[in-house]
Amino acid sequence: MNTPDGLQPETGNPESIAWRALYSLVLIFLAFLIVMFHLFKLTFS
Amino acid sequence: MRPIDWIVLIATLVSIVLYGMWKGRGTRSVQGYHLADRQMKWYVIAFSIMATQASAITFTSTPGLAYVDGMRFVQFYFGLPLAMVILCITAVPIFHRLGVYTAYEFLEQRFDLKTRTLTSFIFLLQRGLAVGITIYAPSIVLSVMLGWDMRITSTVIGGGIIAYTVSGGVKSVSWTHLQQMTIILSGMVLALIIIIFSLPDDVSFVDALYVAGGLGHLNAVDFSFDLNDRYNFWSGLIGGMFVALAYFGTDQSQVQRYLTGQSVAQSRMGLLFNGIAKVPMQFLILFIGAMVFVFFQFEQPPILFNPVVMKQLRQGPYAEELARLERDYAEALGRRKEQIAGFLSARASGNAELVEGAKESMRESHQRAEEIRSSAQAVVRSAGYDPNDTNYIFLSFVMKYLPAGVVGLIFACIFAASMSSTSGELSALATCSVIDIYKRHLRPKADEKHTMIISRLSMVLWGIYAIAFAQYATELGALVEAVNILGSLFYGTLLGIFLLAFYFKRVGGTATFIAAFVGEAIVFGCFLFTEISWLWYNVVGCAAVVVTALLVNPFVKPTEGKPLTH
Repeated sequence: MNTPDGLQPETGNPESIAWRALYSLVLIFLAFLIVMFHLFKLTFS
Repeated sequence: MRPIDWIVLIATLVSIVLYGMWKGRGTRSVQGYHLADRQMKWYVIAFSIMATQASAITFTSTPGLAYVDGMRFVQFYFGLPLAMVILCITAVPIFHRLGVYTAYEFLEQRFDLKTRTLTSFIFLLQRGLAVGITIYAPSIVLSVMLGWDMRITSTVIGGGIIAYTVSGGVKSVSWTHLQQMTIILSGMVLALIIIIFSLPDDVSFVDALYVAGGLGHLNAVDFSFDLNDRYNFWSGLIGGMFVALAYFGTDQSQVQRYLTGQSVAQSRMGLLFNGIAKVPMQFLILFIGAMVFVFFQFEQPPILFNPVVMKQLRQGPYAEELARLERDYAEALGRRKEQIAGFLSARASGNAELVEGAKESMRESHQRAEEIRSSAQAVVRSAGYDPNDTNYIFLSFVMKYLPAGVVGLIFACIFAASMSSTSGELSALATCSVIDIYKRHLRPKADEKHTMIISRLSMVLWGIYAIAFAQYATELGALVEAVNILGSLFYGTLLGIFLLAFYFKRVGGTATFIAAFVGEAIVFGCFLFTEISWLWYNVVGCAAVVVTALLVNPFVKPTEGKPLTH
């Protein structure tokens, strides 16, 4: 199991596009979860 | 527990110890012992981070919390993914570039020795107090449920950990974390599936969700803003982010997990995986509790779940009052069951007005049952016992209703969780003691062989101390709670110091050192004289340290950091 393409060990640079994309994905996933939890509550309450 | 449960439990515990010893074999260097030779892949780091945070109490009390209070606790973790991203950008590359053994080593390079020593000392104090409780808290619950002497449970947990951590160091700790999390998650998913299939035949999974939701137990998000409310969206996102930043960025028990990474990328991936997986994992555990709650709408639960307290009450002067409350409770539960059946029939009819009316009746009957349960808790308090039975709800359900073998697996999960968090803490305490104190202050010229002996000795001593603390904690009584609270009051200060180190290049060591004391005094002031939820202490402490340092800095002589040498 290696790191995804573009995330080579020597490129620990926060400016790289691959890392920025990955950070954005984590935050988008969090927003998605919060919306889902809210809808879950509204649907069954 | 039946024989098959004992076999599953013992086999799991033995396999953890043997696997840890095997994976850590051949560890002979200081770097190998404290940093697993910096060879860990992202998935080991990710599971190690999650396993260190997930203590046994996570798996005993969290479902109980959902049973009592619904799922709103999940909001506490909303700030965690944000913190993971911030740490990936700031802390991880710096720690890797400097090749530090502990997070506090970086502070000597950035500020000065006194700031490094102060933060190490705060960590040793805070984590040293907590590590005994990490064994003590689940030991009480397991002793009550299994009927064991508490000394046996704490010795089993602590002894097992010492066996593999002393021999293999952090390498053993990291690999066993992966194994322990696999066991824990498998056990939890299996428990959820069995609970859902244990519902009455005429109650579907969707019905169960409507019952839980109708009774307010699927309240996973609450957008109302209240500083005194521990669990709402805002306290979770902002307060939770500060807690996570402090815990994952300044607590050596977590920093050590990603310092073992093969590279910056591997460490970052480990942290980001934690950011993705943590919220769904907590949701799963809380959802188990919500489903146990639904299960007990159709099966009669005990009025209180702590079997030892119930036994004591039945033999004492409160027996008659308890019996009366139990009769009332059974009656209220019967009525609630009827109202739930009415609610489900109304839902099946599709008449919205009927559904709303039935839901209201169901809520009222539930409220009545809860009032009687509260009266029983008041009796427990009057008798001098702890009325909080959250820790016993899930395990009571497990022991009475889950099939043979699965009961053993769930108890193995609880032991594994206790071992995982304790081993992470012990290894961090040992590393900090050796690297920041012994090797920095007492024997700076100690060679590799000598340092290895001291490292193993430190691990043993911290392990023995944790077991001893757990065994004598019962006699400490309310002091244990005080110790637990005390430990949570330092994170804001630590976070403030690290923020200054990362982002305020002109602030020197002396200003930071003074600001740390001022910040800590303000946090203690908040704790003693305000009603603010503890989640906000980290925000207050951090802000106080940063502001004080900025104000003091122009008036003190700057100190120079110095490059690290190993």
